[in-house]
Amino acid sequence: MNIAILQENLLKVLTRTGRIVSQKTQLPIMQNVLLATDDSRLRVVATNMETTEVVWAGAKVEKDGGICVSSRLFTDLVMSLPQDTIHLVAKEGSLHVRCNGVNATIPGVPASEFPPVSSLKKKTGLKLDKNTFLDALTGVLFAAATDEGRPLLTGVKITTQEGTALFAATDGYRLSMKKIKAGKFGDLNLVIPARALSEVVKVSQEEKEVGFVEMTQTEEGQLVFSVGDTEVHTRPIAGEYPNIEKIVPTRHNTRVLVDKTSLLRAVKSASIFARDNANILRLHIENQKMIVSANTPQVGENHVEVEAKVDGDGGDIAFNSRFLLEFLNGFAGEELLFEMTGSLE
Amino acid sequence: MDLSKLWKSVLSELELSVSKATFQTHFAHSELVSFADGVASIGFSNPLMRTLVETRYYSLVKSILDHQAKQNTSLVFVVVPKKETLDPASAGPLFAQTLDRQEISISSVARRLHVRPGATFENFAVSTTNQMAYAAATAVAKNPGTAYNPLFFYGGTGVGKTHLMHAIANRLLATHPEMRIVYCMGEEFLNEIIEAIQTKSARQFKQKYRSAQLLLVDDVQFIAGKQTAQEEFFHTFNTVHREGGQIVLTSDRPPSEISRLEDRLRSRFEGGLTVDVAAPDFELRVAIANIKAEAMGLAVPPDAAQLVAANITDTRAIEGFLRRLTTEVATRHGAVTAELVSSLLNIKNHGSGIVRGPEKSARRVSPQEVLDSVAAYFGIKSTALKGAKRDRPIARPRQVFMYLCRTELGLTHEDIGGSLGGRDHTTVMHGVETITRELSTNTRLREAVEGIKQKLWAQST
Repeated sequence: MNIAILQENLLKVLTRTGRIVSQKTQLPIMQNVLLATDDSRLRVVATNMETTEVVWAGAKVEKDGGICVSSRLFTDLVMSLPQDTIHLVAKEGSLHVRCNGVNATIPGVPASEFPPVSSLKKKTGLKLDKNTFLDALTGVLFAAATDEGRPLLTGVKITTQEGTALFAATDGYRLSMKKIKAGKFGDLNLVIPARALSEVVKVSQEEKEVGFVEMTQTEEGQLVFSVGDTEVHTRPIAGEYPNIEKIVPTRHNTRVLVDKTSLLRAVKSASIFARDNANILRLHIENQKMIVSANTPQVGENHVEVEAKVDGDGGDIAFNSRFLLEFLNGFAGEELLFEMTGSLE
Repeated sequence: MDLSKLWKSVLSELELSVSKATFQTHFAHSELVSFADGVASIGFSNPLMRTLVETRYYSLVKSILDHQAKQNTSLVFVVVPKKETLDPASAGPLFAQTLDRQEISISSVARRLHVRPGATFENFAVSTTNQMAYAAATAVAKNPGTAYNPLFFYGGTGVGKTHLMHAIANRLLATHPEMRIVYCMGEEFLNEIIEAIQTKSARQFKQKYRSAQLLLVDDVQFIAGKQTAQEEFFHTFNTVHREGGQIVLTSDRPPSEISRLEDRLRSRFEGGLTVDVAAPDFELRVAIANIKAEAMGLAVPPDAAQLVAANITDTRAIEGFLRRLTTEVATRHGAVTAELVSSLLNIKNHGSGIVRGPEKSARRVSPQEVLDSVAAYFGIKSTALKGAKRDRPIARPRQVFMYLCRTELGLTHEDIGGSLGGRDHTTVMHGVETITRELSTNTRLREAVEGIKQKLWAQST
C-alpha cells in the first residue's frame, strides 16, 4: 500500500473510528484499525464486535494494499503531524508514515488478520430524514441502560404502526418515548444497540452537509446505517422487549405547563445541591408555580421558583436530578407538559 | 446423538489447541445446531465471529469433530441470533413498581376499607328484579354526591344490596383514588360509638365519619332504637350530605318500616332514592350461578346451572353449593354434569334438610298441609293424590308433592310413600328426580312449585 492523504482528512476519520475501538477487548486485533485502499480511496475500519464502523476518505492511491495498526498509537501520531500531506506506505509488515519532514514507522498486522466486515453490496435501505431521525434518537438515547447485565435494555426499541414510528428506551428507572411521523419507515420492530445509534448520531452531527441517514438490513440480519462516507454496522438485539405501554400511567391529577429553558436552568442550579445527596431534587407544585429545590446537609440548599400553568391538585414529588437533566437536554421543544398522578408520600 | 454433549467435548478439545482469549471470544458462544449425514452446522451469535472462525479455524474444528464423531464430516457455519431475555426481577423499579402499583393500591385500599375487591359492577348480574337498583348504583358511581343522595337499598338477604354497595366503592376507588371512603356495618357504627365514648375518643370518631366523601353503611336498621347512635348518625349524615359527599345505605326493609327509627332520620333516608332489590328470579339465579362458577374456575354446563338455579333460591346457598361442587369435582376428577348436580342436590337435602332462607324454615309445615296446597293449586282432590290412579293430571301433582316433601320438609322416601297410600320408595325417588330435572326447563312447573311454596310459607310471615 502506498497512498497520500491530507492530515485533516485522515485525522477526522481516525477520531471517528477511534470512538468504536475498545481498549478492553479480549482480541488484540480489535485495538487496531484496518487501513486499506478501495477504489482509489482509503477505507478505515474499526470494530468492537457489537458495532463496526467503516469510513472512506479521499486519497491519492499509488499502490493498492492494506495493513492493521494500533488505533490509539496511529491517531496520536496523526494528531501530532502538521496540516500537510501524509504519505502512508505499508512495507514488510510495518507502516511508514512521512509528512513534512516527520518520519515514523509503526509495527502493523497483516490486513487479512482483521475480522472480515460484511460489505454492503447495494444500498436499498430506508432513506430517513436526518433531522427527524436525530431528533427522535436524542430524545430517547439517554434513557437506555448501559450495564451489560440487561442486554435488551441497552437498546432502543423502534416500532412502526399506522404511519407513526415509536422510539423508546428505558433502563428500568426512567423511560423515554418519542413518536414521529414515519411515512417512509415501513414495517419495523427492532431493538437496536443504543451505543451504535449514538455513534450514528455523532457521525450525523459531524456530517453537516448530509441530509439523510440510510438504514439497510442485510441478509444476515446486520443493520447498516450509512451517513455520507461512513457506515455503522450493528446487530439488532433479539428478544422480547418489555411491555412499556403498560407502565405509562394513563391518568393524572396534576398537569403543569412550564417553559423548558427556565426549568432547565432551575434544575441545573438545584442539582448542584443535590449532588452529594443522592441527586434528590424536589418539585413542589402549587398555584401557578413550580418550586425546584434541593439540599444537602453541610453543603447548603436552594429553591428556584419557576412560573408555570398548573391544572390540578399540585403536590410534591422528587426525582433524580441527573434523569431530569438528561431528559431536558435531549428535549427539543420550548414548553413542556408535566403530568403527575399523585404526591410522593 | 446428543448435540450439546458432542459439542461440549469438541469445545473442550478446542480449548487445548487455541489460546484462552481466542477460545473465549470465538467459541464460547457457539453451538452445534444440527448434525446429520456427516454435515455439522455450527451456529454463532455474531456474524463477524462466524466468518472469522470459518476462515481461520475450519480445519481445526473439522479434525476435532471428525475425531469425536468418528466419521468424516463437513462443516457449515451459520448465524443464530442470540435470544436475549429480560428477567422481570432485574428490569428495574420502573417495571416492578408501576406494573402492580395500581392493582395493589386499589385492592389493598379496598381491603383496608373492608370492601370486597371482587364485588364489582362487571360481575353483577342484572335482571328485571334488580335493574332499577343497578341503574341507580351505576349512576351514583358515575356522579357521586349529585345523582341520588342518599341512595337507599332495601331487600331480603342475598339479593345483592351489599354487592352493589361494594361495587360503587370499587368503581369510585378506581376512578377517584383519592376519595375518602368510609364503609361500615350499622352494627359497627354502633360499636365504634360505644368504644369512642369509653375511650373518650369521640373526636377521632367524628373526624373519621364526618370527613367521608363516600359513606357506605350496610344494614343501617341496626342503629334503630339506639338513641346515641341515631343522634350521632343524624349529625354525620347531615355533615356528609352538606359537604356534597355521597351516602349509600342498605337495610332489610324500607325506611318507613324500620321500627323505632327516629322520624328525622327516616325522612332523611327517604330524601334520596329508595330502591327495592327483589329476590332474584330463576333467570337471574342462572346468571348468578354462572358468574360465581366462573369466579371459582368451575366449568358448569348450562343444564347443570339451570338445575342449580331451579332448586336453590338463595344466592348464598347457590355459592355454597357451587363450592361443594368444586370439591366434589376435584376429588372425583370429573366434570360438572347435570347428573352430578342432581345427585348432589338430593344428598344435600337429605343431610341438612332444607336449603332456604332462615325465616321460611321457621314455620313447620306438615305433609298434610303440603298435600292440601298441592291439590288446591292443581284443582284436584287431595284424596286423588293418595289414590291409585296414574293419569298425568294426577301423577304430575303427586310428583310435585313428593318433591316438596323431600326437599322442603326433608322427609324420607319411605315416609313420603307412606303418606301417599303406601307407595314404594323407588316410586318416590323417581318422582323427586323427575321434578328436579324438569324444574330447570319447564317454566310452568317452576311457577307451580314456587306458587305452592309461597302459599305454604307466606302464611307464617
